[in-house]
Amino acid sequence: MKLADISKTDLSNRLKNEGIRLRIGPFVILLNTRIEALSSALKLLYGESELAIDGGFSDFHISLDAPAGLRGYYRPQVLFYFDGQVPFKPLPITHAFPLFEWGLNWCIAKYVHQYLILHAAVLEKNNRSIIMPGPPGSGKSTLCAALALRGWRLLSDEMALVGLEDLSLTPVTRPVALKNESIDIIQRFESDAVLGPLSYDTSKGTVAHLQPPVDSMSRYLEKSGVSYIVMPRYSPESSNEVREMQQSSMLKELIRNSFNYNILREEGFRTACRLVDACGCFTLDFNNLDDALTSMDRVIHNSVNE
Amino acid sequence: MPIKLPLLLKILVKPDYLPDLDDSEWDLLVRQARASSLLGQIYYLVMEGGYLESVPERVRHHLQSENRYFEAQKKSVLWEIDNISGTLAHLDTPIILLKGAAYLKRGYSVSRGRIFNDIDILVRQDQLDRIEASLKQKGWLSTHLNDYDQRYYRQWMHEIPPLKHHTRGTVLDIHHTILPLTSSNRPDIMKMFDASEPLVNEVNISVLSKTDMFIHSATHLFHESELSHALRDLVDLRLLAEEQGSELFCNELTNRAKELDLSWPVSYALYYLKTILQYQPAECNHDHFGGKEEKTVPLFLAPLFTRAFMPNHHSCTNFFSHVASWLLYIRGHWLRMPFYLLIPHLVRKALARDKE
Amino acid sequence: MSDYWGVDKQFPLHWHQWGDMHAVYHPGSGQTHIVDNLAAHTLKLLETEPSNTAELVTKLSKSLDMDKDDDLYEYIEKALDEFKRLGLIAYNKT
Repeated sequence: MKLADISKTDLSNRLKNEGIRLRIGPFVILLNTRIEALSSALKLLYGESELAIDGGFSDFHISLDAPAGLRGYYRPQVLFYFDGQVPFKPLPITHAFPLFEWGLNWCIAKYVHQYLILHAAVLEKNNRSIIMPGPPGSGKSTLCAALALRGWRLLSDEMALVGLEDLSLTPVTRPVALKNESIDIIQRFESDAVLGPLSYDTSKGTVAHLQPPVDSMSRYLEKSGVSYIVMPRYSPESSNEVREMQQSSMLKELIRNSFNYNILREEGFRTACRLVDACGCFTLDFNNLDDALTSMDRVIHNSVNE
Repeated sequence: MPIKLPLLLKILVKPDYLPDLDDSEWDLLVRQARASSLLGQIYYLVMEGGYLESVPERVRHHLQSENRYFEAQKKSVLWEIDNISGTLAHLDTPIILLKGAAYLKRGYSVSRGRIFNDIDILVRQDQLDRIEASLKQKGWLSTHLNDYDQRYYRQWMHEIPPLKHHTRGTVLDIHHTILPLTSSNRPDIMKMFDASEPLVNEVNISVLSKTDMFIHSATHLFHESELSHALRDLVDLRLLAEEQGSELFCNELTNRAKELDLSWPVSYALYYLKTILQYQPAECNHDHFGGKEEKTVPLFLAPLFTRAFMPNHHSCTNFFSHVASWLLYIRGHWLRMPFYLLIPHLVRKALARDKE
Repeated sequence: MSDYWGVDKQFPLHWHQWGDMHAVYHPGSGQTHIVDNLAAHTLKLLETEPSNTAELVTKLSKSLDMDKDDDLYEYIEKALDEFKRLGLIAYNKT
């Protein structure tokens, strides 16, 4: 059963009581909340996610609720609970959905070490996958959203899960986080794009999440091989250009953008080196989405130099 | 006081149950163990029993991830010890590793899967200034910069304010004795120095003797005011006792504890090893509890500690555990400080907390 | 006699090569460094056997067919300093 199959009332009841066990990529998350707005945002953005049957093992027990006490009345806030512990400071209640997303990232980065985890988007087309590592401001999420809206399969926006043995990419398909002007850019790029509620004044500015494509969500268990690593670099002044990148420089970028390289130690080093060996490594400078999309097609058709 | 035994305790007492757990039981066990800093211990119990095949795949990932985290910490701690030893080598004074760092360096079973945050060392008080100065030259900075904290540590505590390496972020606790200077027990620390054992291939690094390690760990556990790791500490004590492997351990232990004026924490430790973990070192009998076993721990304290040893997880806590931890918090401070000092310090701590 | 330096056996280095660039991982510090051919070669000599500066100059000039001149000497002094700073090599206790 999918999350979208439960009625709004049922969903909020279940979230208030026994919780739902949501399948997100390889993980099962037991989720509770009394916050109605969060319940609706989940239904919209994770509607295509499968629900696991009750009981059994959940990877993460997460709940989001208002802190106890008076505070709740005059300036409502929300706390992220990881199995009863509170790892972060409270946020305004209107930031509940982004807080869920960030909190889940935190859980994965802290407790999941069977993969090398990179801060990167992962997309696939014609059986070729591209890892796009990118620090904030690189345009990674915007480009990722655009590719997903143009038929690429979305495996991840924030985290690439790279298998330590076989370098396979495990999807962890979730809504794409768009910030500030990217929100308008994507709405103009595709008028059918479905966006969740806007959260203003977060630590990253205004945030909204793009509903992931149905097809990508339904293939949440289908791993993929990796062919390319592309470092996107958005700048309004730059020209549109794909360039090969030196492998040793790419290794540095992967390390810089990794969540758990320091924990995997030798295994992380070996995996990152093998990943660079296995992939074509490129930088992509772009100033508009349409040209960037053409460039990405050239990358997967091996026609960068033509 | 009858309490239904939490799953984590059942497993710690009898790991043979591990292969029979179903998915929901694993769900509870992983959470209780993680909250009690004992997930690494569960990984080792699984490996030791050869149960890995019977562990559901999803759970296996969590156990193995915890072990990867532990292995990473182990390497970086060993590396850090090397650096500290190198930085202090020219001073020609013994550096005694305590707790986690010592267990790791010794390769004792108690170190397996044990996650800890700080490196603790014990040094001679008359060498403190030289040691601190050498470390500060190599990038170790004092963490507590306000005057009150500095004065508080230096006047009343058994350690100086922790140092933190400015690039690597490691925290180093430098002790010159094992209990706060204000405690009523005043063990002769030189006796521990004298019994300490040098490490192979090390110039200036040593560790406490096995017996002293047990006494030190027990002393800390029962003087502690924040007992969030109490169960983990008790498991440490069991593994340390098992490491001794000598039939005479209990006699040695009690004699040594008497010599160091630390008999009561050792009796408490033996009492709770028996009542909570159902473990009793070989040849231990009533004499080792300083008389009648049931009277070891005062009546009003016993249920409080029993509560503190329950897994630090909401599935095992209730209103009583909050009260118990508050009372133990007060008691921990009361043990460490004369009364007139306690009140201003607690007030100050509460104020500092509110400011955060 | 000058000091002997070597790679601590407790923390053996891990290598990966792309053309004339080498990645080296140090399991103690957990740091990864990118080095060129010459630096990699120098470090590998120290990995095989602890050396002092003079010995290292001789070995390096022999194996890479380089002149044993001041430039090489100066290069090695600098490289050793850098390796020390990064914790890649340690003072040899024996």
